[in-house]
Amino acid sequence: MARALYTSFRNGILGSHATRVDIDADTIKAALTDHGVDTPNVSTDDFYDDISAGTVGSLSPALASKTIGVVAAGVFDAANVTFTAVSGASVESFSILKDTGVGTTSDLIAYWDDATGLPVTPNGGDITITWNASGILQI
Amino acid sequence: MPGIRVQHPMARNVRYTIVEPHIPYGRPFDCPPPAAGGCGSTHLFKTHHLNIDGEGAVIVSTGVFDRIKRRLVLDGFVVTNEVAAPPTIVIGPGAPTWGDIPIVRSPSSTEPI
Repeated sequence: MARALYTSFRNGILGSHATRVDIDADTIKAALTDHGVDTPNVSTDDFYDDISAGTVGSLSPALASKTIGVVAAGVFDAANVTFTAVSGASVESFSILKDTGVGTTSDLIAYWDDATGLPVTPNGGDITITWNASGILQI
Repeated sequence: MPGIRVQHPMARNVRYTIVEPHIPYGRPFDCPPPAAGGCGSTHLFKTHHLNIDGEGAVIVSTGVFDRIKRRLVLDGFVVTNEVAAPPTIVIGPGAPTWGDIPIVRSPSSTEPI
């Protein structure tokens, strides 16, 4: 699958989803996923509760230094994000999502399973996701 | 969290794969190429990728160790020590690539035919 925007997020941009994501204002976090427990499906998964069973460790801290349209037109970017002391199973993919604190209302945004370093086997230390210099995603 | 350092008797500077054949993936996982961090195969079952350094060692989390320790022993790994502060692992679309690295598959835990 490589990398993709979740279909529900794409539809939400056009207003056809139950909730919308305001990347500027909402709390955006990342999740590491063990596909041995849950394999995300960008076509059918819409909220975090659809993939939360496979989450390794906790969600990341909120993405900081978010920008929209600064790196380039239609581009969302943020600072790199670090998961602290990850001790769980190996990770095949990661996603970013809007975190409301409730899985059934936390919209899934984007998915990567081909980024450098994947799959990753945690060593008990931190895992940092380094975003591309050209931004995290572009609409 | 501490990590567990394990040591292989012969493997050096390789990516070593260990399969858990009782855990099928929900769909086949197309593993990225070795230079990106994977092994370039399509996995049907849960596969752990261990980046073994030049001394034959790799640090794994306690969670991973608990799951595959029997397979590690079968493949000749020995536990050398606990690592209180394992180094940070950097992944992501902006992370530096690995360069080519040989892939070694566990002789005792491969994908079922």
